Amino acid sequence: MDLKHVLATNLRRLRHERELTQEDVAGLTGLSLRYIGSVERARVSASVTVLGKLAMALKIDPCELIIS
Amino acid sequence: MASREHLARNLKELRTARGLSQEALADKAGIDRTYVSALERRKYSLSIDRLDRIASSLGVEPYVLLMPTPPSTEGLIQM
Repeated sequence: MDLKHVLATNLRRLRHERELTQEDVAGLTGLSLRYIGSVERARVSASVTVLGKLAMALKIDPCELIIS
Repeated sequence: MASREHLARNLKELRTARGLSQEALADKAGIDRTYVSALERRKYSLSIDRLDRIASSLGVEPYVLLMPTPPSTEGLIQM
Protein backbone atom coordinates (compact mmCIF):
# COMPACT_ATOMS: atom_id res chain seq x y z
CA MET A 1 0.00 0.00 0.00
CA ASP A 2 1.54 3.34 -0.98
CA LEU A 3 1.64 6.32 1.31
CA LYS A 4 -1.31 8.05 -0.39
CA HIS A 5 -3.52 5.10 0.54
CA VAL A 6 -2.15 4.97 4.07
CA LEU A 7 -2.99 8.67 4.47
CA ALA A 8 -6.45 8.20 2.92
CA THR A 9 -7.35 5.36 5.31
CA ASN A 10 -5.96 7.11 8.38
CA LEU A 11 -7.60 10.44 7.63
CA ARG A 12 -11.01 8.83 7.17
CA ARG A 13 -10.66 6.77 10.34
CA LEU A 14 -9.41 9.66 12.49
CA ARG A 15 -12.08 11.98 11.13
CA HIS A 16 -14.84 9.45 11.89
CA GLU A 17 -13.48 8.83 15.38
CA ARG A 18 -13.91 12.56 16.03
CA GLU A 19 -17.34 12.58 14.40
CA LEU A 20 -16.24 15.23 11.95
CA THR A 21 -17.56 15.56 8.41
CA GLN A 22 -15.35 16.34 5.42
CA GLU A 23 -16.94 19.81 5.51
CA ASP A 24 -15.82 20.23 9.12
CA VAL A 25 -12.23 19.29 8.24
CA ALA A 26 -12.31 21.62 5.24
CA GLY A 27 -13.47 24.45 7.50
CA LEU A 28 -10.85 23.73 10.14
CA THR A 29 -7.96 23.47 7.70
CA GLY A 30 -8.95 26.10 5.16
CA LEU A 31 -8.62 23.44 2.44
CA SER A 32 -11.45 22.88 -0.03
CA LEU A 33 -14.02 20.18 0.51
CA ARG A 34 -13.09 18.77 -2.86
CA TYR A 35 -9.44 18.51 -1.87
CA ILE A 36 -10.27 16.69 1.39
CA GLY A 37 -12.37 14.27 -0.65
CA SER A 38 -9.46 13.68 -3.04
CA VAL A 39 -7.07 12.98 -0.16
CA GLU A 40 -9.52 10.43 1.30
CA ARG A 41 -9.82 8.73 -2.07
CA ALA A 42 -6.00 8.60 -2.41
CA ARG A 43 -6.23 10.70 -5.56
CA VAL A 44 -3.63 13.28 -4.60
CA SER A 45 -0.19 13.14 -3.06
CA ALA A 46 -0.62 15.69 -0.28
CA SER A 47 2.32 17.81 0.83
CA VAL A 48 3.90 17.77 4.25
CA THR A 49 2.35 21.22 4.82
CA VAL A 50 -1.11 19.75 4.19
CA LEU A 51 -0.32 16.93 6.66
CA GLY A 52 0.47 19.63 9.21
CA LYS A 53 -2.87 21.38 8.62
CA LEU A 54 -4.86 18.15 8.82
CA ALA A 55 -3.04 17.11 11.98
CA MET A 56 -3.79 20.45 13.61
CA ALA A 57 -7.49 20.11 12.76
CA LEU A 58 -7.60 16.57 14.19
CA LYS A 59 -5.40 17.50 17.16
CA ILE A 60 -2.82 14.82 16.48
CA ASP A 61 0.80 14.66 15.45
CA PRO A 62 1.37 14.71 11.66
CA CYS A 63 3.21 11.37 11.81
CA GLU A 64 0.02 9.63 12.95
CA LEU A 65 -1.49 10.33 9.55
CA ILE A 66 1.08 8.25 7.73
CA ILE A 67 1.67 5.37 10.14
CA SER A 68 0.50 2.15 8.51
CA MET B 1 5.29 25.08 9.89
CA ALA B 2 6.46 22.60 12.52
CA SER B 3 6.27 19.46 10.36
CA ARG B 4 8.63 21.01 7.83
CA GLU B 5 11.09 21.77 10.60
CA HIS B 6 10.92 18.22 11.89
CA LEU B 7 11.41 16.87 8.41
CA ALA B 8 14.47 19.07 7.81
CA ARG B 9 16.11 18.05 11.07
CA ASN B 10 15.30 14.33 10.84
CA LEU B 11 16.36 14.13 7.23
CA LYS B 12 19.75 15.66 7.92
CA GLU B 13 20.25 13.55 11.01
CA LEU B 14 19.39 10.23 9.36
CA ARG B 15 21.36 11.06 6.24
CA THR B 16 24.53 11.90 8.12
CA ALA B 17 24.07 8.90 10.48
CA ARG B 18 24.22 6.72 7.38
CA GLY B 19 27.27 8.51 6.04
CA LEU B 20 25.40 9.65 2.95
CA SER B 21 26.12 12.94 1.20
CA GLN B 22 23.18 14.97 -0.10
CA GLU B 23 24.20 13.83 -3.54
CA ALA B 24 24.28 10.14 -2.61
CA LEU B 25 20.84 10.35 -1.02
CA ALA B 26 19.46 12.26 -4.00
CA ASP B 27 20.77 9.53 -6.31
CA LYS B 28 19.20 6.75 -4.26
CA ALA B 29 15.85 8.52 -4.04
CA GLY B 30 15.87 9.56 -7.68
CA ILE B 31 15.61 13.28 -6.92
CA ASP B 32 17.86 16.28 -7.51
CA ARG B 33 20.62 17.13 -5.02
CA THR B 34 19.53 20.76 -4.81
CA TYR B 35 16.12 19.48 -3.75
CA VAL B 36 17.61 17.51 -0.83
CA SER B 37 19.54 20.60 0.18
CA ALA B 38 16.40 22.76 -0.02
CA LEU B 39 14.46 20.30 2.15
CA GLU B 40 17.16 20.41 4.79
CA ARG B 41 16.91 24.20 4.74
CA ARG B 42 13.09 23.98 5.11
CA LYS B 43 12.60 25.59 1.74
CA TYR B 44 10.06 23.17 0.36
CA SER B 45 7.16 21.16 1.51
CA LEU B 46 7.47 17.89 -0.33
CA SER B 47 4.68 15.58 -1.45
CA ILE B 48 4.15 12.33 0.43
CA ASP B 49 5.15 10.32 -2.66
CA ARG B 50 8.60 11.84 -2.45
CA LEU B 51 8.62 11.52 1.31
CA ASP B 52 8.02 7.81 0.77
CA ARG B 53 10.95 7.50 -1.67
CA ILE B 54 13.35 9.39 0.59
CA ALA B 55 12.31 7.28 3.58
CA SER B 56 12.99 4.03 1.72
CA SER B 57 16.38 5.34 0.61
CA LEU B 58 17.18 5.91 4.28
CA GLY B 59 15.72 2.57 5.35
CA VAL B 60 13.08 4.05 7.66
CA GLU B 61 9.29 4.25 7.70
CA PRO B 62 8.04 7.57 6.27
CA TYR B 63 6.49 8.74 9.54
CA VAL B 64 9.94 8.67 11.18
CA LEU B 65 10.91 11.66 9.06
CA LEU B 66 8.12 13.72 10.61
CA MET B 67 8.63 12.70 14.22
CA PRO B 68 8.85 15.65 16.61
CA THR B 69 11.68 14.03 18.58
CA PRO B 70 15.02 13.30 16.93
CA PRO B 71 15.00 9.75 15.56
CA SER B 72 18.64 8.78 16.09
CA THR B 73 18.34 8.08 19.81
CA GLU B 74 15.80 5.27 19.60
CA GLY B 75 17.74 2.72 17.61
CA LEU B 76 15.83 3.72 14.50
CA ILE B 77 19.03 4.37 12.63
CA GLN B 78 19.84 0.68 12.65
CA MET B 79 18.92 -0.83 9.35
